[in-house]
Amino acid sequence: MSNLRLINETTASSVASVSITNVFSADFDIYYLSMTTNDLSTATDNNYRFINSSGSIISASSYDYASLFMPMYSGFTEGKATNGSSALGASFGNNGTEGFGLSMYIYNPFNSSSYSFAQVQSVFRYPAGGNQSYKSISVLKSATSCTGINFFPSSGTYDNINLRVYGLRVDS
Amino acid sequence: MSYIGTQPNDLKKNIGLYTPSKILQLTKDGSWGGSLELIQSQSVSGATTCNFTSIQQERFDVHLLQLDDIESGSEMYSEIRLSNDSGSSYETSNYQRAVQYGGTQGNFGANQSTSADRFTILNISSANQPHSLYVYLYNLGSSSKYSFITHQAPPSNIYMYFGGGVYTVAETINAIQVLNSAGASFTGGTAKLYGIKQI
Repeated sequence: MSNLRLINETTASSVASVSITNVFSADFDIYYLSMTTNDLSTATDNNYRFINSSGSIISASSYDYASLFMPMYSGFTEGKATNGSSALGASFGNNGTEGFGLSMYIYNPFNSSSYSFAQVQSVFRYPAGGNQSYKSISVLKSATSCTGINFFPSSGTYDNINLRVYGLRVDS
Repeated sequence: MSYIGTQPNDLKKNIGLYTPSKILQLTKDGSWGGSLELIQSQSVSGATTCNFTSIQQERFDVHLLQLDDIESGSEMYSEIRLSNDSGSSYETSNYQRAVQYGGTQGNFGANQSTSADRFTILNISSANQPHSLYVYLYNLGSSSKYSFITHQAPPSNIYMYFGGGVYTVAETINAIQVLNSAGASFTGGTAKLYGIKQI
């Protein structure tokens, strides 16, 4: 049996944000999140925030990230921020229907004595210029037990979004 | 069984003990065996290409391709091409890429293209030196979407790489070819293709 375990699949349409709750637990330390559809009403940023064990979105100014935008048509651009209320953890999204690809690894979200870390690698259609790839690392600088994650665009809505969360099982 | 405990949103709850009937039901549901399904593993040694022609694109919208200890007698990049006719031919246009690399000798840089004939520069190694990498491939089975990849390679004896690529034709992809920039016969290595389960 492989050690990748599907925990949740979420599909939504015409929503301003997507919250995936009760997916992080003591059973896994590392999670894999995939996203294959991310159709936005307008081309903009994707952001994420963690959800605590009470079900509340953590929007305190405790997120840091560093990123690299990699257009296929021009030079690369670095991005970074500290103490933000969310993390630019996902990348720009496409506002068409050509598709999308994202793989995200999340580390120690449920551990109440550890910060929660994530890294993202994605590729997408950005209508203003063409196709881009994206890489980022991010951290929630709060030793808080998180049980879910919330994605939201900087403006507009998700016309369609699909994502799955898996746990990487470690057998003792 | 090692899968102990009840997960939130379990497809089928369990307490760590599987009875034969549960195994049959999990198999029927597609939940038995974990969510990383090996489609095919091939040795690449002795060939210039390695083809996957039964990729089960109708079952998976995310594939994982893993190349382990790939090497040849020439300096080479690992590369990928896609097919829309089950491997009878492989597409030679409409590939785009963006790659960041970092060298063990200190030089970092970027490489991009909007008019490539394949996904290339996935990793590099010198003659008779192995390298490894992994690639996630997205939406291959969708006739209405482009095909996307993200990839990452640990440092070989020369460089590390990560990046992404797009095959900018909305069509169903049903075969994948692994090849190398030198056109050389591989002298060692294994290519493994997995599907990431959706159910």
